Amino acid sequence: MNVPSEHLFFLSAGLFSLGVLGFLVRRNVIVTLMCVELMLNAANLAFLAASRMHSTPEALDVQGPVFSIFVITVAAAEAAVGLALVIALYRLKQSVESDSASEMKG
Amino acid sequence: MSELLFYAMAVIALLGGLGVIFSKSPMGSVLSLLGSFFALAVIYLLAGFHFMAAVQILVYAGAIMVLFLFVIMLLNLGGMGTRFELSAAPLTRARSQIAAAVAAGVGLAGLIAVQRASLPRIAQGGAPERIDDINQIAIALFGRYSLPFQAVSVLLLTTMVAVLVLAKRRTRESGQ
Amino acid sequence: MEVPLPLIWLVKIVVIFGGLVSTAALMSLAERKVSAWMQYRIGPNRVGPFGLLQPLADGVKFIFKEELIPAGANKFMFRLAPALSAAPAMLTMAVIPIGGTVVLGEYSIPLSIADVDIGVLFLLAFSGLSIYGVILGGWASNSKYSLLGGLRASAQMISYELTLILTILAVVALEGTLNLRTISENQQHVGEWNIWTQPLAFVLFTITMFAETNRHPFDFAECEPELVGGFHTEYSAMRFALYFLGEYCAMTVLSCLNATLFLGGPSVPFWPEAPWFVGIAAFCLKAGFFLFLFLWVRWSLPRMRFDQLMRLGWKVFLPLALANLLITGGFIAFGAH
Repeated sequence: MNVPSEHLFFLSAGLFSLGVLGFLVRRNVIVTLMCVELMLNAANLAFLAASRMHSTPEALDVQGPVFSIFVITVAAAEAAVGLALVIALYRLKQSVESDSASEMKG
Repeated sequence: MSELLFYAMAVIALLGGLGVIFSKSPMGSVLSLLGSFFALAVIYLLAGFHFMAAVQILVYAGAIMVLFLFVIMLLNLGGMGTRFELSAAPLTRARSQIAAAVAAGVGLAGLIAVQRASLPRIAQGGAPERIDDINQIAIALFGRYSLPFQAVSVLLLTTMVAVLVLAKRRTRESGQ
Repeated sequence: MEVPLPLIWLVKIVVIFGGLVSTAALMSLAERKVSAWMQYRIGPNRVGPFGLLQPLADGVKFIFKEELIPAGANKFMFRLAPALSAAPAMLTMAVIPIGGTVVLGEYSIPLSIADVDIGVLFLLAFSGLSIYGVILGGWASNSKYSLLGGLRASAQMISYELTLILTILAVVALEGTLNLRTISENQQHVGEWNIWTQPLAFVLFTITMFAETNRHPFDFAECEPELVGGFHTEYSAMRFALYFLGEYCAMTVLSCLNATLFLGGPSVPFWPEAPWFVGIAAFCLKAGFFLFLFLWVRWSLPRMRFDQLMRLGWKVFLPLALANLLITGGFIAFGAH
């Protein structure tokens, strides 16, 4: 593939800003979490693009993939905790809107 | 040919991202995000990251998104009937404009940064066909990055405990 | 001389996928025939010799039946779900090496569609996707029974996938490769089969196969007395058949994988230099044994309860698989390997 690595970065920026937009616009906590996942994926893509930029056939740069693996692990942990919180919130308020968790006293 | 595929997949990934934001039901969001992840996996393959493509599908599509689906279904079950919609009420116009401006600003900043910064390009000429050699990743993961690796495993353990505590239904104590 | 002629690729794809789908079709007949024999009945014997054309007749019937979509169902996802269930199972067949390398004149053709060096990962990644068909089918039907069936099936598949991955990982660690072709070529002699070095992994994998494909004794997803038909309660005609096709394909693929990982794939015992067609026959025999095992177990064991199944998966199989992986790792690190 002869696409310059910059284009991978452009795609990453686009996905990240979509994630930001969704994070700000949506009030459904589940969708908000999905937007966070989207942002993390954009970060992964950027890591891999950087790795691709630095690799030569003689010396491969695997730091991008290694960091992506870390990001994916953290994303999995984040999704698990986030969704457990969603379930707890739903139990408490019968709702999954972020506005419903605005009281200090539960 | 593969260039064309790349741009097609890029468009699909972005459309999937839009679908996450604008779909009416969370189920639609999940499917859009899934499409986006698949497009990204194909892009990884094209860019020479075979292992990462497999991991992307295995972990994101096979595990994380299933978790999302699962929670949506569980909450559907707890609600009234299966048609219980979980989507949020729309925001006010002004606020959504601010949000769009912020997101566009973030994206633009990224674009400009990539465009302006003379990225240190070590590889002259074409990138190699296959970048993520599994052996090299393993050596890096268990050698140079063994400390973060162990930190991440502790994080996973902590997550497991946290999720158990959060999601466990308290039956005997006060409250619910 | 290796010539990746497009024609050879096409032939391989057609033959292997055709083989997979016809195996699945034959399994639907075998299911009824074997059941009949075990209950001292005759089974379907009207269509064709020994009832061999029964799957064809069933297919025609399914195509001509009226298709119902329940009111209030999400039409798009309702239509999408069966395809999502069948496609991953068929895709994963691409990386399984059916036999060694065929030498025809000047061409040498490796007998798998794709010789991927991360074949095991590819297979796991795509087989994990078949769960979407189950979940979405259960959700989109707009029926309590379907929803519960889908939830149960997906919880079960997630739980047992862990054991499946961990047992495969032990074999992968021992072989030092993720390439299924290399794994099967490393087991040329019967003494090198992984079943001897990984007996526990073999047993766990074989049992987990049943749970992964939602087969008896773990078939709560379609537990008739409790949930009518499970996640496909509302499906009819060809979409219903597609679910079954997916299930049989998944069974076939897992049987082939079991034969490849633990029983040396196409290797023939005590005849290492057997010609390639004997190898293919040996492979089919090994995979066929596991397919028969599916039916055998179905009429031999009672169905478990759902909580028993979850307890078995999380409290017995997962620790055992982890311990197996740990011991294997210890042997690789400190043993004379």
